[in-house]
Amino acid sequence: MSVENAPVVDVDEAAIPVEKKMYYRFESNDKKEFRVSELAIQQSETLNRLVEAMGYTSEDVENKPAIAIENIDGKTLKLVFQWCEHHKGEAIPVDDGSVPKIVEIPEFDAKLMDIDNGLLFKLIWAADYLNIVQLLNVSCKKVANMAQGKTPAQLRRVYLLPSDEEDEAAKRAAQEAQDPRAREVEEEFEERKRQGGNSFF
Amino acid sequence: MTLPILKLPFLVFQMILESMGFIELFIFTRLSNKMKRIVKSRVKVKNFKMRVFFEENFGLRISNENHMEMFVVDVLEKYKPEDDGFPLKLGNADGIISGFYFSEDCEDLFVTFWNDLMAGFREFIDEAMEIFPCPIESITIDNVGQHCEELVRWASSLTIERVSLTGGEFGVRHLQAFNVSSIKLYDASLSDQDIHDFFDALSNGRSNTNMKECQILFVRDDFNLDFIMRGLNVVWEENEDLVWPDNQTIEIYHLTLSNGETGTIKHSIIEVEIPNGPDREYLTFDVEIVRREVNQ
Repeated sequence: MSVENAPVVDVDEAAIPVEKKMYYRFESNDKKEFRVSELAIQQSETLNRLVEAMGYTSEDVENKPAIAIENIDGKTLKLVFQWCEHHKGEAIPVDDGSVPKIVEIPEFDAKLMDIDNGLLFKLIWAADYLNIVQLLNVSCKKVANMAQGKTPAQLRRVYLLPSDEEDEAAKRAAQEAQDPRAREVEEEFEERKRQGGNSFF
Repeated sequence: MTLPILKLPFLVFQMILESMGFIELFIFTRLSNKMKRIVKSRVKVKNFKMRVFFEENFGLRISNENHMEMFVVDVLEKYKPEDDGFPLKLGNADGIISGFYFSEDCEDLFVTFWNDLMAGFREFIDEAMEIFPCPIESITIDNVGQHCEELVRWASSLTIERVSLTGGEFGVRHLQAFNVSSIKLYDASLSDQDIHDFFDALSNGRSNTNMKECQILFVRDDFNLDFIMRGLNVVWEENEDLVWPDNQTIEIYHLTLSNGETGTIKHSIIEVEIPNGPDREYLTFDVEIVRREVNQ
């Protein structure tokens, strides 16, 4: 995609200061390109360090290839940068140490995360990978809120959580995959027990 | 649609658990042994305190200045089928009918219903304290009749800041069982001899060595103060200003304990607000002890 056609996420023109703003170009793994303000990038510790290390000038940004983010797709990255642009300039929150965490989801974030669970899953991955603390906080809170008022059976279905029996079966399967002989030995042992043998050896 | 949280990075999964409320976390621990282990080992409750209530049912409130949730153990007769309850495994009991509710203050409640309230308390409290080992700020035990012995035995084994008891079934030995900083006893039926014995043991360091304040509220209004204070190292404070409008005198005694610590015993009338009822006057003994700071 050309620079001209790259989607530019929610920029408040009136808020642009007199001096020229610095933008960076990023490309998702499905070749979608985004122009993101320097201030918005500061919400992501990973990207902020990356652009600092690259030391690009405005000319470099236009003339060099967009910075590739290889493990995030365009749909997810668009949400990430929309979030960063909306929250640009805000301080990175410091954890007050309370557990359970007290996290309020602002209206903008709630609308942004009004998406299917598949995309929400990718958004959380992206927030974690790009180290965007507050986006990770609110997206984790959104997932945590899904548990409210749910019975154990409903929680299992929503979060795909195994029962004790399923955990046990998975553990056995993993052991067998590691050592196929283990299953044979166990079956032989059971057979001998059925036949009334006291000792395996 | 599903969201497979176990496929997220483990620290993110942990963050999701840490963002859940206590009720959701508790239900999570019912899902499997593995989930219980994870919640216990990875979700370390911080900046929250517990308050425990034994009244007509049993309540466990976990709160801080921003957030409050409550677990209730109640009798099965209180459950209504239209409440959409669901069965839960709790301790050694399976199929316990449980449900989500709201209090009048919109506080989130999780209620489990039991045939036997005390059996429910035993099963629930062990599980809850194992999963959420946060400090207990206070315990309130009101009019529990025959269960007072078991509850006092259980509560006195814990580290608690404040205890509030109500009922004539509580005696001096129950007060002495709690080595907490603050004790209140409402509707006390202690005799003058009981009060004397309590003050005497307190003065001589034989009981309640951490207690800083104690309030005992009586419905009766005849006390033999000379008998109660006999043999104690007290000095009566003579002050004509300490007179109530209805000529009930406030008596103040300055007390010196055998270890040199000092305090006061105040005997007076107070008016207490009773929820859903008229205010009530009590004759009280208020004890305040100034404890020496112990250098660590």
